[in-house]
Amino acid sequence: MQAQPIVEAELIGHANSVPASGPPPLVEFRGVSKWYGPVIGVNEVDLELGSGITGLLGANGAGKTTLIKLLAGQLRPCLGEVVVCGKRAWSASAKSHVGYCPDADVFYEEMSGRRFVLTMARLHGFSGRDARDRTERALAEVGMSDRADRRLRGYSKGMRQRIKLAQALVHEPDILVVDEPLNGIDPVGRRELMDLFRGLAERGKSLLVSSHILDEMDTLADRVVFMGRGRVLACGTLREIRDMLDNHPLHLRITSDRARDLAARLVQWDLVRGVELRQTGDLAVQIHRPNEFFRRFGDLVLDEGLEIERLQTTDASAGAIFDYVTQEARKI
Amino acid sequence: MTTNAAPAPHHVSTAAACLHLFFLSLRRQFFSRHTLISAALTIVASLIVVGWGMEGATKSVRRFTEEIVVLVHSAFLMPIFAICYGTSGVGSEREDRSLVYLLITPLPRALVYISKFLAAALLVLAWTGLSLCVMCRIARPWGDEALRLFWPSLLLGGLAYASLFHTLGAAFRRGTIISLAYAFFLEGLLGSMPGIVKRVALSFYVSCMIYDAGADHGVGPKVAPEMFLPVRSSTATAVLVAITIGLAAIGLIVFARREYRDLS
Repeated sequence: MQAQPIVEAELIGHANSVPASGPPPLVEFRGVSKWYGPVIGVNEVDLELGSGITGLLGANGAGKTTLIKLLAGQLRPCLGEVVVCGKRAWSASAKSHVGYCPDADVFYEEMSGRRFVLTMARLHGFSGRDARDRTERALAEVGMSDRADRRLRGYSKGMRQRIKLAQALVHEPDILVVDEPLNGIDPVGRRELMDLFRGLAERGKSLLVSSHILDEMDTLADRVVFMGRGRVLACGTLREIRDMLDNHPLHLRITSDRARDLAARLVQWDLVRGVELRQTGDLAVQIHRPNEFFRRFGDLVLDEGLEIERLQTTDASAGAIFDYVTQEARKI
Repeated sequence: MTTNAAPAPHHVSTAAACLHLFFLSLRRQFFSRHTLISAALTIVASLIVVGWGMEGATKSVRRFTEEIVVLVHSAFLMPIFAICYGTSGVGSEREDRSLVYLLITPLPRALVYISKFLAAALLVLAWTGLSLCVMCRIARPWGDEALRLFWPSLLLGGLAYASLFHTLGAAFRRGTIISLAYAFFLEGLLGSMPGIVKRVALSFYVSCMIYDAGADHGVGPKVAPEMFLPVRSSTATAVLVAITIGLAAIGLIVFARREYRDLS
């Protein structure tokens, strides 16, 4: 997967996820707010998206779907603007850059999968032959070429999800917006979809994938956007966000042949907030400033000739970080 | 899953996309329960005409017009056809949430609306014309004369109703219920009002065109002209054309600006 450099990652505020001197972002949210009457959907969101996979995470009602609909041009912001490839997202011309895979499980049910994707290609204005070629490519991409002639109403949930993806890919968009794509998909199907997303990201596409299944974002997303109460709570790689959570020391589990000696050394470091020697012989260590810690820890291991069997973070997953970010947000 | 090479440079055509949407809408609306309803109602109306023909009383163009064309076709069948296809043009897709697939294409919303309206209007006109032809053929020879005289007014009325109900379908979540309430409550109420109040009802202008075209056969309002206050046929035609275009424009603006938040 192509690594996407991140300029900054911020907690509780504006977030930026594209290189400062790189190409212009594919998507920009500029001071975007959206209200539904007295209810706020998203609040003062500034966000830029470049290529790669961005995971959009948040609890129900956090504003994920509103953000996605704003990007897909289904909603207009009350304040600010959403710009897609230099065009306002609401405009018709911006929609040729966006492939939208809605959460709702709806289709033209009387059609076959192939017919449905072909119809979407024709509605994008492609001629008959071009539309057919694109349909076949999109179906092949989602692994549905040989199963696309059945009626949609007879499809399994996973097959319907793939057809939804195929229609979103049929016009080769620069940006793919996918709302809860892994819902109801079996583990094998999930793996295949995640591989597909990775393949698209490697080809320079920008993917915004919303999910409430946080663990999958650990392996899927190049960076994540945490949302809560209509705001972007944090944006960046999981590691960057974790590093900034100073109030929540990073929890490590270390297995070593000389655990007691190691504990004695570590407890003297100012980076180490606590060390516990477990009955299993493992060390449970809480640290600050992980980058500095790991550099010093590496030196220590080499100098002392320690044998480290396991060095594992236990609260650096998307789920754990999301909980911390949410806790921080509540304090504000 | 496979990864494919980038496609060759392509050309997109908005006109081709609109044409495809027109035929897609036409096909989806034709192969729907609305067509079954329309066919069933046409059969029932035809049976009513058969019964009318078997009745012993003296027949005339005037009687056929007043009892069949105005009461059965103009006041009932035509609005029903328009409600079936008009409100479902946008309303059905909104209800089953498949409208989202039209709104994510790069087609301007105004063109989406026009394409769908034209498809719905064509079906309304087809059923209005077909049902009128069938009923008039059954009631020959009076029916033949009625068909010759009244087809323009009924087709124009059908078009105006289609425009109205298509707009209501785009504007309201429960467009069908609102349309039914309008067609069978408000129209009836307003149409029976004395004076110029009835001029807000579409049926008034259709009736004026029918009465004008059938004047040679003694066709006219049941109430005195001083109470009915008819307008000339040319005025009624102009009003119906203006209403059709005006309501289509309003629907187009509503559709182009509206956020359909309930689609996904």
